[in-house]
Amino acid sequence: MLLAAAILFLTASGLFVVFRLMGIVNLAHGEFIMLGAYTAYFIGVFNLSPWLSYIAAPIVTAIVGLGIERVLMRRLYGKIMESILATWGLSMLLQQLVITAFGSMPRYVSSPVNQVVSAFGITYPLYEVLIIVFAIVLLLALLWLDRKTQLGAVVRAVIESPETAAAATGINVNRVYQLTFVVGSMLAGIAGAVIAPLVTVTPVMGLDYVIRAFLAVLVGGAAAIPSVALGASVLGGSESIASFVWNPVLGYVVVILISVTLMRLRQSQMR
Amino acid sequence: MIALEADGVTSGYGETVVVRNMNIHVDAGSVTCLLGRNGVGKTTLLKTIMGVVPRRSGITRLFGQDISTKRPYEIAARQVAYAPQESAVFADLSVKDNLTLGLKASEAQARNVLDEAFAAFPILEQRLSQKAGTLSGGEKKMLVFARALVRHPRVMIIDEISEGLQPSIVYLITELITRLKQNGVGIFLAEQNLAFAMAVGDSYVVMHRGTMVETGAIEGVAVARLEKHLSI
Ligand SMILES: Nc1ncnc2c1ncn2[C@@H]1O[C@H](COP(=O)(O)OP(=O)(O)OP(=O)(O)O)[C@@H](O)[C@H]1O
Ligand SMILES: [Mg+2]
Repeated sequence: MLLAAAILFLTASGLFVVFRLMGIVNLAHGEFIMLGAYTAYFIGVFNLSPWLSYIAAPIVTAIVGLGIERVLMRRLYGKIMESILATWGLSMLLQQLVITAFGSMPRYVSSPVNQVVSAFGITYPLYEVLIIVFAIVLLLALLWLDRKTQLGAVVRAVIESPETAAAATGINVNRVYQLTFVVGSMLAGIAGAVIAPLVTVTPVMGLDYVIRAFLAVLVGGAAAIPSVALGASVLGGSESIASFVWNPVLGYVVVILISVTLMRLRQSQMR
Repeated sequence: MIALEADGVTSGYGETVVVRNMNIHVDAGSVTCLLGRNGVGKTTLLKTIMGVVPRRSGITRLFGQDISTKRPYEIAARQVAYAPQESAVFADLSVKDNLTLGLKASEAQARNVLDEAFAAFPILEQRLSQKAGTLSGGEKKMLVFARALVRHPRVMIIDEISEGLQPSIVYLITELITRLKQNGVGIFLAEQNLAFAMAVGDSYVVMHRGTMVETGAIEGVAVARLEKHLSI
């Protein structure tokens, strides 16, 4: 349950930072996760240390993200509908490219650690414990960046008023957008590498994550980082309980029902 | 020397033209006041000069250099400080972050920036770590002015700074502007407070429905003549 929440937070954080700053829903976010997972797969193929994945994956997705920002995203800032359509197209394009290049057969990535840890008479795979720890560290790091650094102040200023940030304080708003998109891509890349040993790596694996991530962002309220973590916990937790008690399909139904209910609730609060 | 110049500037929002063929100039070390009633297009002209509102035609120049096609941050980087009229502080940021934002300043330089701001408006020191959104209306205005001041501008573009300020603070700003003038800064000031405009201004431009209807030197102008353009 904690693991599901941690994974959901990892896979949602990149989508969230982009959505919060630019109001853009990047439907290709899942494909960045997929690219991160493929990077981890190829690290394994070349017999390199699996730990290298966590550095290589964000670098790969940062480069891809930078390129995509240059040719596509910068034309879409502030245009919600266009951005949804364009990133949807981008998502399919990336899937097809990966299918063409590497085929569509499922790939498996081995975990860098295979030990188990025991607590309260239950044993857990160490890797899953590490994922939970990493998610918490990432949450704290993002919070620190946002609240305590000059960069965080710049981002919050641009969120509030891009116009005033540029004209009154000389901030190059497009640069901030670009940087944020690259950071969002890197977060997706890391998430892909982290989850790769737990899942089947395929060119279309991203879809599952982007939907859940988007729900977590919506439920969390798209306003603050802790609320996304909370959204991820509620959704991840309830899905794994429901999947355990009933079955995965019902688990998914429960997630959607909870999302819709929570969004309704928030809307009526705002009124 | 002409610090800031607009030559036949026309601009607006979407289809609507708001500013028509405006000509203004601001000499270094002097204040040009832009006068006019609500909604005549003062803010729009200032935003056009800052590159925020797209220009339809005309040229804007900074010390003779064409800045018409420059982006807002590029204009700001040329030591043009802009004090906007509305929602101009970053509500979610502390007063400190508002002041130092965008300045590539070291810790020591940031300290100097803050000291300069406190010297101008002592009240800001007590509010330093408070979120700017929780400041009073007048305190926000002081913060906006201080944020422009600490950028050591060559040109200042100030939008209705005296609006809603108590007389003693308006007086403080009058003194600050006088000092900036002595240091050679060119100031373009949109105003409706005639007493304040006449106290700091050297020349004036009256705007009505997006166009210039009158211009001249402040010295020797009859108050009634300007008042008639501002009253309803
Ligand atoms: N973003 C916008 N989109 C469309 N129209 C706008 C926009 N901003 C201002 N306007 C219109 O442009 C006209 C001029 O507005 P502007 O803010 O420049 O006036 P102003 O002279 O600064 O008035 P005030 O003294 O009230 O500040 C107004 O009719 C206003 O409704
Ligand atoms: Mg105005």
